Amino acid sequence: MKVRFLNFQGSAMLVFFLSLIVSFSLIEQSAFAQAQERRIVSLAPSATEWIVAFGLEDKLLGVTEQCDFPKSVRVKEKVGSFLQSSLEKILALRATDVVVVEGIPTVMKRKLESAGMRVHLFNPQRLVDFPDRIFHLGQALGASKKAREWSERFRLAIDGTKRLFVDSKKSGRKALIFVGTDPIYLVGPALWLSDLFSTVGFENAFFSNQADSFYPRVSLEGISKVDATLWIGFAEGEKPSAVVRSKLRSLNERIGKRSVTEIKVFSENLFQRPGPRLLEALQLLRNDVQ
Amino acid sequence: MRAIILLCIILLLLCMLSLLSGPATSWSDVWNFIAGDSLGADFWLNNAGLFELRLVHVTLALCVGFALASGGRAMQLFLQNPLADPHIVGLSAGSTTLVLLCILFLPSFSATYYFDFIPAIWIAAFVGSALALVLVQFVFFGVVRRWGIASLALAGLLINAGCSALMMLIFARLSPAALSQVQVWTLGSIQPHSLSAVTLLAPLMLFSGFMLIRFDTSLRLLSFGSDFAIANGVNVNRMRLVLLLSLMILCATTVCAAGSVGFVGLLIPHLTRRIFFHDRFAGIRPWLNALLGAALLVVADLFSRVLTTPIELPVGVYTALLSTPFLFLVLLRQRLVQ
Amino acid sequence: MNHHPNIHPGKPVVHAHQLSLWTAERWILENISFDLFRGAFCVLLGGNGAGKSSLLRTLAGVLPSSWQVVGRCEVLSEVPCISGKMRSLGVSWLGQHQEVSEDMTVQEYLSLSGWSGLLPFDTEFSAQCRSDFAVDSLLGDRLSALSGGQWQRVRLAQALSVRANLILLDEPDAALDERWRRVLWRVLVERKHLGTTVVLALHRHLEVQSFVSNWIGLEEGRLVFSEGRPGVYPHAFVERLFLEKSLTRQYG
Repeated sequence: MKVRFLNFQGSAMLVFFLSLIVSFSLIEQSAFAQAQERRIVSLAPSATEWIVAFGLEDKLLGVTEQCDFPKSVRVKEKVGSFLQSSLEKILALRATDVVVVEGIPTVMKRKLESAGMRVHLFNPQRLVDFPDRIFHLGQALGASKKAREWSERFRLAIDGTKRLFVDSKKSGRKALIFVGTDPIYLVGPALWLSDLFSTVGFENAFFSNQADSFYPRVSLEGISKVDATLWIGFAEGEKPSAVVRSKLRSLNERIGKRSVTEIKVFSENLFQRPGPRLLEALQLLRNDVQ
Repeated sequence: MRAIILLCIILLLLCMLSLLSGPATSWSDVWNFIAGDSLGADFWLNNAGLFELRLVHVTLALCVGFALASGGRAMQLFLQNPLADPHIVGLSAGSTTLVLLCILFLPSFSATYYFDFIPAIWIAAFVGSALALVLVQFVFFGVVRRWGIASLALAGLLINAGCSALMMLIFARLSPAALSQVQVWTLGSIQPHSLSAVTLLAPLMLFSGFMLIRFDTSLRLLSFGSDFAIANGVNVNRMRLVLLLSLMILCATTVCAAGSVGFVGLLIPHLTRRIFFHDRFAGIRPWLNALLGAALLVVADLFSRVLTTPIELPVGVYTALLSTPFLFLVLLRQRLVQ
Repeated sequence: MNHHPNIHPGKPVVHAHQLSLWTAERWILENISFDLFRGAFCVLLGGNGAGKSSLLRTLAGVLPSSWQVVGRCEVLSEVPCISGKMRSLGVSWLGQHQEVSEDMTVQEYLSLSGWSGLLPFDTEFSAQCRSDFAVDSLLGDRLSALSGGQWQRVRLAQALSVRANLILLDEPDAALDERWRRVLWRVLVERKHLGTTVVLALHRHLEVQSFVSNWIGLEEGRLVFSEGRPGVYPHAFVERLFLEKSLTRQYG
């Protein structure tokens, strides 16, 4: 016996609701389509490089004054400096997404959010966090495919390097990484910059009880107590590199450390930015050590 | 009286200029607006966020200047010291230090907002100011056991020194990036609060400034010694209490609005005294002083947003840069006249 | 002429009974008792440190808060205190020393006492005072530019421009020359005739001999002489004062 499943009113209601759902999803589509119209502002040089790497350079509207790679971004609108940006400029650009690397003041974040912008924070702490964070950033910006590619590349590079240098770790070579010589700022062991060097076999010689000291400020006496064979500094360009090298050398002479055999200076823009060019940096390091 | 009206008109013009200027609008836009060719009601409609931001900046600059100038004049009269300013008692140092401590140790608390527009950090500012006041009272009631101008200055010195030391400790624990942000704030930079937050903060600042203006005659009487003041009807104890409470609110609210802005409270009263030295200004001098302070802050804020665009230098930089040569010129002119 | 409601013909304007004043270290006044009625012209006599200034301050209510008043002291039926309300009762006090930190003009200084909410500032009186002490010519000058005598005249003009019920002056003749001293005595006598009670601490009392109604002699905080009969001059006390002075001059 066939039972009528739905009577006439029932089917009419069903049709009505179905059409509602369909039309809502259509509206959602169009809203989502509108949201694709992204206007991105970057508040850090590394963020700029990521946005370009994700292929979103045409959506990038504002950069900081320190953003210099690739050369094409130098002509974009400037919204301030790495640590201090002009809220007004960002608002005037009517951005939809803002990418920051270090935290920004809460007041500013709230202002941007109340103006309808999405604030994306990209600050991986350790080197192993990179693949995940890269993917999340790319996904949030609507470039999932490219983000996945970069994420994979990073994962492979990191794992590959680790495997290559796994026995070097046992040799126990230590390095001190300087980000400032006057006053002395070191890189703490819990940061990705330190991880970069530890993957090629150089452990961070600096140890502290404080878990949150990323860039500890140390006295001359503090470093004289540390045992390291390699001292690393960063600078951009030939002349600045020579300056940093001589500064580190004079520091070494002052504390009379015999165990330090080498002082190396690497490119600041390549190494100190948590950007896509870190892969280049890693390659450079590998070639240098081998 | 005419002087007040004139100053008010100048202030209004400055505010309008400040509202129209900024990194996002060019000078030609401003000129077109003045020339009648409107920037377009559509421009402002489309950029409501921009307008709100500028409105917040101008309002806060007005109120902070008003309050700090009044505070500076009151302190200079009260402590009979031409080098006094509202920060001398240490209340704003206490406020700033507690805010910094909260940012460092209670990051989740520092990021919360009550009722969606009041930053929780304001509570820290008020509590810090109140604690500093309690300390001041303790120092000269509990330790020195005698009320006197010297003991108040001493108490302020102690608190300022202690808070400076605490702040140095905090600075040492911050990363270089956070450090530079905090330093900008301690030099005095106007915070981009929401408009609703400003409607809460601005009346408080104006009220505290007004209270200090109201007691101007009593303060002038006090500057001849408390004996003279008592003999002329001033209730010195009550006045001192009201003065310190008003100063507490003043320091807390200005710290909430713009960090600790220096030089306004120190130099504006001297400017007022030199420019408006004539007797006919005697009664309205505190108002002129406050309006001059407001004008200075509006101009300093305008410069900070426009001169080194897109980087905004802290407004405290410009208050010093503007007021120092101005005072120097006024002094020079007076000396030449003599 | 409006009087303060606290003044009754029979009641003393100033009533002190076993009044003592204690600072943190010693007694400045000990067991002072006297009465002054309306229209009295009283002069406090005594050497330096006898307690004249302190007594005037106690009556005016201008004392450091750490000093304690023991005993009864009523001025216009109110106990003097430092809340500043003595002014509204019509008590005018002028001390010996005054700090000047704000260099304002004389005009502004004079306008200070006339601020709102306080009776009994009287523009008529104030204009009269200004002309009496010839302060009108000094109105534009800064306080720092005044000579000692000019400053004292300005201070007196400010203190006396109130319709006071009790005037307390501490050595008002200090920087004044003879001409201005005579003006001052004249003004004070006029006030006395209007019903104001005047209490002065003076060293040069010979000039005022003729119009003093009460003499109070103090020595090391104690009342050694109190004479309320008009026209009576405390010869013996004054001689003792002078004799002591000459003794110290002779023997070092």
